[in-house]
Amino acid sequence: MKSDLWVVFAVTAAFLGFQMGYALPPMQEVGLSAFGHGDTAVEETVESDAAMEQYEELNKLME
Amino acid sequence: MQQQVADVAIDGAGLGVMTPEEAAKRKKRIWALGLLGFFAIISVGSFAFNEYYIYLSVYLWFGMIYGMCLQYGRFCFSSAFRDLFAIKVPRMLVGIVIATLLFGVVSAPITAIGLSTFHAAPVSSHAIIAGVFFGIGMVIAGGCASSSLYKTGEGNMNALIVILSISVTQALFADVGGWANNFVPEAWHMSAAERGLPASINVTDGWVDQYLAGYVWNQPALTYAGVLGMSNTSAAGAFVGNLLVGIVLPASVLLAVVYVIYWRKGYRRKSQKAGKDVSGLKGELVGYWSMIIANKRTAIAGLILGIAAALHMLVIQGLRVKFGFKNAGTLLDRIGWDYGLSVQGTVFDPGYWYVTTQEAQWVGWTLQKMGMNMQDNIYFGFVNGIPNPAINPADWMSFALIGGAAIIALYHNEFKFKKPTWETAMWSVIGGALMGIGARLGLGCNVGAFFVRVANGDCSGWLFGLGMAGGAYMGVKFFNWWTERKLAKEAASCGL
Repeated sequence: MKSDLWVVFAVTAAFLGFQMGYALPPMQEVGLSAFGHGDTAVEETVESDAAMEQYEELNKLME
Repeated sequence: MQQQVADVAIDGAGLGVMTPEEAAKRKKRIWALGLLGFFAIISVGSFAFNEYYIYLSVYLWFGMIYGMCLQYGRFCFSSAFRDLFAIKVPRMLVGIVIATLLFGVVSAPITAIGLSTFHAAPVSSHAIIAGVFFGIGMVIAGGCASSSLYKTGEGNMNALIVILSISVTQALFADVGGWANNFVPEAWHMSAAERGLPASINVTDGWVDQYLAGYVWNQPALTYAGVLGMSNTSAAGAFVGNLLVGIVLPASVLLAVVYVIYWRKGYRRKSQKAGKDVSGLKGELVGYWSMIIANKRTAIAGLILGIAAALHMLVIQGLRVKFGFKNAGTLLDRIGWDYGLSVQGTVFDPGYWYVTTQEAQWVGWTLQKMGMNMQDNIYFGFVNGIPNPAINPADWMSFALIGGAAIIALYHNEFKFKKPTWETAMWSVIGGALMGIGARLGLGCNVGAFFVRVANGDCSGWLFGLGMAGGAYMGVKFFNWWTERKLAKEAASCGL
């Protein structure tokens, strides 16, 4: 009766797998292998400006 | 005759005749698959339209997993504390603590690698006070912020009222100024004014604005790793500081206290009746372990939640790197949705599981559309924005969470529309309002201010939890008093 619950899990896994595959290469480039230095690598890669820097600082306090 | 024909549906596969119960179950499964198909179409369609929408889809699919886990594990902080204080049953609380611990185990390597999207929150007594408000509210409402979402997915309309109440209260509370400024201490006012925030925010008009800029932001944001002089992004900091000192040790002590007060006596009585030896340290450890594994369902849900939440952070961080931005506001701007961005061009984009801010945002967006200025405050105007709920990443997560819970509830035949009574609706509104205030004071709910923070070694997490426990205790005592008073009145009216 509940056997097609696996359809739900399979579809969910397929979408998550695709998304992870999409995000994995840039992640590997910036830090997955750089144990302990991922945050620095991310900082160097993403677009940043003064307003975004200020947001980052405040965001740390807001969340 | 017609009724008999209607009650007997023919199986689509032609394998036989279904009873009405089987037909109803089949209908629910079709609804569940329909929901799944809807999310799949949204994801594929939006991605085909623009590659950037995959960022929102990530929130959607992880939201769906959160919903499935919450429904499966009956993950409810309100039930946990109510059961503990009202009937002295610790099963749900133990399950939640174990789930938090397992989330911490999964988060530690992500933090150590440096790809976590989590940021520590300011630590001070405000977290305890916020927790008290939240704890009272969740007991009165009959559900916490996260469980109200999954219960809505089960068709519980009281839970939907709780969500509406949390959403509206937060939006209004974040924007309230005028008369409320009279309750702002002078020191907060002066400190907020000196922040140099943009004029459009009008920081000196608004209680929450001055609370944030004049008080909360002056408090240190600490992790256990930081307190011990370690870097968060080091193996020692993540595993020893945040995980061992920040989660494993306090959780073990908490569970030991719960064991001694609420579990030990009953366990020993049952074991002695069964002729088991419960003497000595071994007996105590066996008893402790029996308590740990008493709520496997919640613990399993917690483990999957933990893995999902950690992967969520990882994937979001990867996409931020891929697309070259730090906040989804940039993404929305690139795809042409610039309405409702904050003055800095940002929107709420936590990068992990969060519940309450997106609920406030859709109310903020609605009120703005109705002519109110909802962006002259820090919460919406400076940090989180009020984007259209249809393209708000965190809103995709909450909608999908409700959908995920509905899917599992439909499959397990636990979906049922439950209409509120006037009395339960009243408690839902009051409890939701208290949770909304608590969430804004504590910068998060039972998920954002407790579950995620504790699991990531944030020192404010346990403080919020402490306040939440105290508030829940008060809520339980209040309800006991209310119920006894009501029963006494009813008995008196019957002449008993």
